[in-house]
Amino acid sequence: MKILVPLNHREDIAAFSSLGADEIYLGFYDEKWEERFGTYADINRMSGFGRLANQYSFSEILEIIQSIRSHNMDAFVTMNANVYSTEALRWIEARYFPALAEAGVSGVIVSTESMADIALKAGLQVVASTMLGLYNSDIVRYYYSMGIRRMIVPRDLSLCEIAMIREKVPDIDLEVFFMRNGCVFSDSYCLGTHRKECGSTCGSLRSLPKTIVTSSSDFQYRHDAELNDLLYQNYFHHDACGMCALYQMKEMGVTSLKIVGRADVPGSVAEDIRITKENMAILEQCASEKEYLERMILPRNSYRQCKLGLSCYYPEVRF
Amino acid sequence: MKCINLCDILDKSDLQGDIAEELLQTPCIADAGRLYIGSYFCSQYFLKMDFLSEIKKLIGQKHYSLTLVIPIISEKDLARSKEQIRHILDELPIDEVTVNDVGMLSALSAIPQIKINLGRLFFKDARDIRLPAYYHSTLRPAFLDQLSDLRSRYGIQYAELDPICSVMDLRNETDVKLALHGPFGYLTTGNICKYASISKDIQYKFRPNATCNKECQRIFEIYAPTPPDYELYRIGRAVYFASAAPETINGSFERSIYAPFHEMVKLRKEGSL
Repeated sequence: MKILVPLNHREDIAAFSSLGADEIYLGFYDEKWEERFGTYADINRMSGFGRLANQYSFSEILEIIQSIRSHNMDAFVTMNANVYSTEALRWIEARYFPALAEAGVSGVIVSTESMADIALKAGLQVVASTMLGLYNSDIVRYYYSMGIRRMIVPRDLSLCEIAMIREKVPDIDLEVFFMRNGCVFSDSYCLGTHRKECGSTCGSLRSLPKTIVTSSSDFQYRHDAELNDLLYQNYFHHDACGMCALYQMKEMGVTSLKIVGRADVPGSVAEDIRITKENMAILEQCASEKEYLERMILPRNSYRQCKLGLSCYYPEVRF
Repeated sequence: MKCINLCDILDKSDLQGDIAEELLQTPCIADAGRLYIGSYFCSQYFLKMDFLSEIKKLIGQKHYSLTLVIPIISEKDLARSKEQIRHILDELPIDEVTVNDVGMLSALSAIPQIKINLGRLFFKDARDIRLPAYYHSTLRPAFLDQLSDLRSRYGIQYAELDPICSVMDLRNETDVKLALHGPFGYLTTGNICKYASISKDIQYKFRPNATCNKECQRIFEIYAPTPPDYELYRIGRAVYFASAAPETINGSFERSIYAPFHEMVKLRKEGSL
């Protein structure tokens, strides 16, 4: 299994490589794109957060890709906005894809069928973004038939479901969410903007005044509903971790473990790479899941994080 | 043409009592000619649709046409959902199906007698009532550019859109007809249902696509900032924003798909609930 990490500061390349990362993904900004298509037309899912999540211009990431490749790591570029107009796709086809191929990019992470089509025509390896909503084997097969071989499955799928998809469509490279930043909604179908001026939709829902309306006047029902709400608001997926699922991921033949957080501080991403690598080494010595779960290293903030499965990507392993 | 969207909100008890009948006599709904049943967002709701004989009786009396809406099905429910689709198509006089993902689109387009609509989950242009500069603008959805390819491959009849801004430019190079959802625009959804967890022990809460007791039929949430510039509703697995229908240029909507949520809640409070 490979470790895939986000990059937002080019000076982290060497450190991430030495810690054991195998693959890096990154996005970019382009002022000319913004001039042409406006401020609300995103190049990638994190464009709304501006330079916070996309530090570098397109010409700069071409250099960065070469630097990543020189450290023997793969480099993937995210082109995973909700939707692109035909004109935007023509722009990407003409201005970005030839240059990315020339720079030696390992693949592009795409969010639409049209984008996948032009990327494949440009000879690029295509990764099906979680934005494509690969919730079942029929959907995976659909994109497989287009020629896509690497698939990122949604973070709101259970391990059992991921394994079922893998079994039904065996000839794919499977990428799974592994560390940091759990979402409470679907990556693919959360269509509110993620922007500096308003934040994410889930962030707003956590902070806005709210009225819970029930058809029951029963105290116990209201109590249970409100307690449920408090747990959801305050504890569910503020962070996320899939470390305990490593054994099952190896068993099902996962290709790549995705550490997310393109806007996060590099030090915490580095810590996640380090502990993942250590646990992968432990995993190699374990004959069973039970043994792995006994010997594995818990994340540094496990005192808070490892409680009742509320920060687990895959809580079914422990709970 | 006005259609009534009962997806995700219709319960068997509404049909067994007088609620559904009363609902369909409400003035702003009474002129509708088609009902949408099923779910846009939840395979659990879809699998638990246990009111086929009651809905059959209702449409027999009122002569409604019927659209079946199929949500995106999570892998563990895929086989059972396909059985449920077959069962519903056998039992009810469905003349069109709304699909929400490419897997189901590909599968159902092979059935010649069924017309296919692209559901609102295909329409992925950003929408955000929290951003007035965006919401109160004129936009041409990039989604409309995708219709040509899908039309040629799958023979799409209608494409369903949400009210994402004040003025929508509907320039469309195809003969795919456009339908508009209201009075809510869909904002976000996911495979994890907050309400399904209400009765579960803490360590089993918030699991993807968990089984439920259709808690969504007994609870919803309203969110509003101070001052209340906008309203968000969490209904079932989805969050919506209340929105007026947009003005249109370079085209028009040939169908409106109205979700009578407020009317349903009012009737349920006065009736058996």
